[in-house]
Parts: sequence; structure tokens; C-alpha cells
Amino acid sequence: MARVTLRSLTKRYPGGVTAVDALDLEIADGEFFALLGPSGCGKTTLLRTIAGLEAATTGQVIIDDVDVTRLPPGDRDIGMVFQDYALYPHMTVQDNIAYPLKVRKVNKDERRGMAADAAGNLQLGELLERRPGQLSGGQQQRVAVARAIAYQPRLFLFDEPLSNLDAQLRVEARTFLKRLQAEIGVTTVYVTHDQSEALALADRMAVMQRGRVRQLATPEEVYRRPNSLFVASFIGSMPMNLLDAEVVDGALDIAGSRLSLPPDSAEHVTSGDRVVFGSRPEFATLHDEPVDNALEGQVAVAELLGNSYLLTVEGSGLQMRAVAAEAAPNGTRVWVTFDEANCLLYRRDDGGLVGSPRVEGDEAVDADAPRVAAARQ
Amino acid sequence: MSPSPVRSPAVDAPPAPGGKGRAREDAGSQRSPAEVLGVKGAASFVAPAVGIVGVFLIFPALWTLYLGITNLRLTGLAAAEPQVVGLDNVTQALSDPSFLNALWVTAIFVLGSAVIGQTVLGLGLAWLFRNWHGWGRQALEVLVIFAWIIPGSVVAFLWIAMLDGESGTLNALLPGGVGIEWLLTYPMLSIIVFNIWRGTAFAMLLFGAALNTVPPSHLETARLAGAGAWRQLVDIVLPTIRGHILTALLLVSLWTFNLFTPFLLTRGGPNFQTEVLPIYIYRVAISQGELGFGAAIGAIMLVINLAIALVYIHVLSERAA
Ligand SMILES: Nc1ncnc2c1ncn2[C@@H]1O[C@H](COP(=O)(O)OP(=O)(O)OP(=O)(O)O)[C@@H](O)[C@H]1O
Ligand SMILES: [Mg+2]
Repeated sequence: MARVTLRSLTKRYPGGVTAVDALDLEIADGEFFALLGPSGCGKTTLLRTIAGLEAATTGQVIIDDVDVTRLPPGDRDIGMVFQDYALYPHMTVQDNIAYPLKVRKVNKDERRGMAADAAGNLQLGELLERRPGQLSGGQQQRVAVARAIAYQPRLFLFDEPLSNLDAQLRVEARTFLKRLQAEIGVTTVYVTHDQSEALALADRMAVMQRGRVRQLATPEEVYRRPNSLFVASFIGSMPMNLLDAEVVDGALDIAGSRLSLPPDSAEHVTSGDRVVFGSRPEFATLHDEPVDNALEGQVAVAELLGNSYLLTVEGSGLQMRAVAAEAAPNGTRVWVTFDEANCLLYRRDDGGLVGSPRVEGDEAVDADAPRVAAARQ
Repeated sequence: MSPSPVRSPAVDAPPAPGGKGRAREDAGSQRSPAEVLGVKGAASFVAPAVGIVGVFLIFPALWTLYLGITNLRLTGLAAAEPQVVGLDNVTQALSDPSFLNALWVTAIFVLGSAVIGQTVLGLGLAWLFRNWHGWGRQALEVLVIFAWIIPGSVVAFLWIAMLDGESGTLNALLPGGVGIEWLLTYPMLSIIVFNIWRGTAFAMLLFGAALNTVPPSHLETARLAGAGAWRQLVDIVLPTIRGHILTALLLVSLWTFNLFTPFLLTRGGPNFQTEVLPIYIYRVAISQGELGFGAAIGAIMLVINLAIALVYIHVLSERAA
């Protein structure tokens, strides 16, 4: 088992792209840690730098108090599962799983035993003599995991291991992975650009943007209190409501309507502050007659989610989303209120949560401007 | 060709688990050219090619086989009225020490310059330069292609200039004025080196492309387990590019087997030491005028070519099964 520490780790590619930018991170022993972020934010690069497949430009990778920054990958005792599984088509499942052990000169009988154990752990016992080409995608994925656990490394790295599976299988494999990791307790770093995967699996997660960590917290915290507009707009299967607002006399003015200030934000703002009001669709309620503290609009779209509906409400230049038990016909006039305990305020200039330290210069809200704007329209 | 209705399984088939099956079915839904054109239309497209192959390849091959069973000569009575002598030419060849010598010389030439030289060296070079990218690699490839596109006769004369005893470049470069007549002292080595120089470029380019087909993650998985470069090569790269290796071996050994250009360097000598089969045929058929006998040996070469090809194809298909 291992503890991983990254100290101002930077990776700059020869072309001049800084994929990982002075990143500090501490991953605890036995932790399931997820790295989440949009495409190109440097997740894979970070993972590969930890593995030693990319050389760090500056900074340190420390595993269990030993600086491994200059060690070749083979000396770091790390198991990695790639997105394409990297199974050897010319070897049987058994030989695939045992290959790292063979490289490490484990003798043949022991090797077979360890491979069979790992395979049994992942319900592959029947398939040992097959070739990877004769397996389904889900089975291939499990063989890749079995190969990584068979030689009992102290650290697992996963790079989007589920993205080649179809949606249903992905949920199954996810549950499976989480249980497996809990059983064997090996520190795991898991890269994904699928936020639901990160939320479901991780003990703690980092949301990355342009080579830096924007939020480092538990999945619950990231979901409930995204610390910036970027994270707020990135996390959640349904986009968060993000509405431009202004603080006026201890209340919020949103396109002419009044909402009371969220209680824990009240002390951090003063009249005239320009802010963004954020609340998830799950915490919005629809009323069919006027109420206080509500935004008025008309139902524009109703989407079935399963046991509820996602309604898109438009009015006075705003677009809001709300989860409701019942669908409403398009054009219905509704008043939307937001659960106060679950509302957040962000500074409009730098995108930070009000009351939190300011974010410096170029990492501010503009970083994801198109997306935030779309969610806010 | 049965006119089976073409369905698109991607649309109405149930979702295949893992997604892999879908790709396969998609490929299956592509219509073959014969289905689109009709058999006659398709035939009319390939007819010109078939015609040209027939006139320039199949007819001469059959004609050679016919000549091989006659006693046709370049001059004299048998030139005007050749007699069919059956397999006499073949039996005569098989007991002819000159023929057996030529066969042996050819075997060494193919083994040395095609198998060990071009294939192994080409693979080695491709492996060494695998991490070269950008302009360095392009420059290397241009250089290497030059070695391959320069006509064989030009290369041969360059090598004569290189290896000549009195004014050769090699002797000038070596210290102490050794003055070795390389082509006379080491004739076999000379033609092997000549052919390696000429053909390794091709093998290297082919293997360079083959190495790019090895997914990086396969090598990285091995590296993470602690495998060094040699292990990666043997355990992962070679099995992955096995098909490319066999194809290169097949092409290169057939080309070398049928190569006449060593004649330009050594004329088969000294003392027949470098008389490969094509040179031997040239000597008996043209210099000595025994066209029928030469054609019979040509037919034997054809059979050997076929045998080599069959062995490679067999080995190649073993893996696919
Ligand atoms: N070998 C490379 N050479 C140069 N630039 C690279 C290289 N690999 C990645 N990059 C760049 O580095 C940045 C980070 O890439 P990386 O692959 O780490 O992103 P990612 O977060 O894994 O994205 P995705 O979710 O799409 O996999 C990108 O801008 C990418 O273009
Ligand atoms: Mg990636």
C-alpha cells in the first residue's frame, strides 16, 4: 500500500503545451482517488507522469516518502489499466495475466497460481485458455484489471478503463471495481471524464482544468458545494442553474425578480455586488400560482428522467431547469423556488464561491465561458 | 454469386455486448463489388488486367516450361528443328556439378543477404530508430529510399569503385595500403554486402511501418512490469509484427533468389564462386547457347520459388487459424 505525494509537479510537452502545471497533491494510503476534468485538461498526462511513462519537467513524485521522480516505470511497483486494455492478442488470458509475473521472474507454478487467483477474483476462471479476441468487452476489461492486481503492486492507476463499455455494463463494472478496491485496499488513482463515475467511485476527487486542480474534496462536497463556476457547470448529470444576479438591499435581483440571499452567503456580499446564483435542478420546486422568492416563467421542454421529469422553464430572459414529479404541458405558467440551504453564490468576475479566496487571473470564470454562458442564457 | 438481400444489421440487431460485435457486423454490411456491378460488369473491369498478366506473365512461363522439355539451341541444327526430349534436361541438370554449385551459392547468397542481412538488419535498424520522429526521421527515410531507387547497375558500379584493388575507395580508407582485391579475395562476401546495402532500406521501411502498428500501451504495460527493451522486442513486438516479418522474408528472399545483378560485380567468378542460379542460366542458355537446358533450369527455379512462397503462406496462415 502506498501514499502518493506530488510536489509542484509540472509536465511540459516538447511542443510547448503545459499539460500539468505546478500541481500539488496528496493521496492517502488505500484511498480511491479520482481525477476528473474536461478533455485535454491533463489527467492522462498526470497519471502517466506518476507511472513514469512521461518524465516530469519539474517537481517531484513521491511514493511512500521515496522520491521516484527519476525512477524508470518498472521500478515503481505500479499497476496500470489502459483505456484500450492493452491485452496481448497472441497470449491466452492466463498468459496475459501472468506476464508481469514472468517479467519479474516468478517461477512458473507460482505464476499460474497467482494468475488463477486473480482471475478467480474477477470471475474469469472459465476463460483462462481463451485469447483476448474471443472475449467480450467487459471480459477484456476484467482481464486487464486481473493482470494489474495479479502482481500485487502498491499503487493502481486507471485511465478511463470503462469508457469502451456500453452504459449498462459500465455501471456494473463500476460497482465491481469499487468493491474490489475496497477488498484489496490498494491505493488507486482513477482518471475519468465522466463525472458520474468519479462521484460514484471516489473517496476523494480532484477536478482539474488546464493542468491544475480546481477543487479537491470528497464527491459529496464537490457535488453540493462546487467551489467555482467551472466546477459547478462541470459536475452533475443535469446542468446546474446558474443565473446572473445582483445584490440589492440584502436580497438578490435576478432579471427584475427578488430572491432572498442564501443564508451562508449573506455575510460575504454587499449591495451592488454582481454575482451568479447557482442551484441544482433537484433543489428547485415548481408552483402553479405566484409565491414569494420565486422566478416566473413558462414550461418550454419536459424530459422524462425515469420516475420524474426535467422541466426547462423560460421567462424574462432566463432559463431554469427543475426536477418535478409531474410533467406540465408546454407553455404552462409556473413559479420556481429554490431550496435555500442548497443555493450557492459565485462572484461574477473570477467565478469563485463568495467568501472563498479569490482565484488568480486567467483561471477565472472566462476559462469555461462558453459552457457557463450556455447554462445561464 | 447469390443475390442475397442486403440488410443493415446495425439498425435492427439487438445491441451487442461490449460494442465489439457491432463493428464486425458493420463491416459485413458493405456490399461486394460484384453485388453492385453484377458479375459481367465486374468481369469487364478486371479483364484488361487479366489480359496483360496473361500475355506478359503466364504465357512466357508456360513457354519456358515448353522450351524446358526440348533440346532447343541458339545455333545449329537444334535451333531450326528442336526435338522434344522430355525430362532429360532436368535429370541432366540435377546431376550437373555446375548446377549444384549454383544452387548452393544461391542458397548462401539468399541466406546471407536476404534473410540474415536485409531482414534481420532491417528489423534491427527499424527498432533502433523507432523513437526518431520529425525531420530526423524523414531525412533518414529519404536517404534510405535513395539506396533503394538507384538502379542496380549504378549501385554495382559504385561498389566496384569502392572495392577495386588498385584505386578502390575502401583500400584508400584502410590504413597501410593493403591493396586487397576485394572482389577476387572475398567474392561471396562482396556480393552479399552489395545486396544488403541495396535491399535493407526496403526492409527497414517496411518494419518501421510495422513497428508503428504495435499499440504503445502494449509496450507500456510491459515497461511497468519491468520489461527491458529486449524483452519487449521478443515478447511483444515480434509476435505482433509476425505477419510483416514473414511477408518481408518472402518478398526479399524471392527477389534475391532471382537477382542477376551480382553478375555486374563478379561475373559469377572467380571460379564460379559467385555463380548464382540466374547467372548460371545466363551462361548455359546465352553464352553456351543451350536454350532448352537453360529453360529447364528456369523451370526448376520457378518450382523453388513456388515452394518458398507456399512455405511462407503456410506459416502465415497457421497463426490466423
Ligand atoms: N505526447 C504529447 N505531445 C504533446 N502534447 C501532448 C501530448 N500528449 C498530450 N498532449 C497535450 O497535453 C494536454 C493534456 O493532454 P491529456 O492527454 O493529459 O488530456 P486528458 O485530460 O487525458 O484528456 P482526455 O480526457 O481527452 O483523455 C492536451 O492539450 C494535449 O494536447
Ligand atoms: Mg486522457
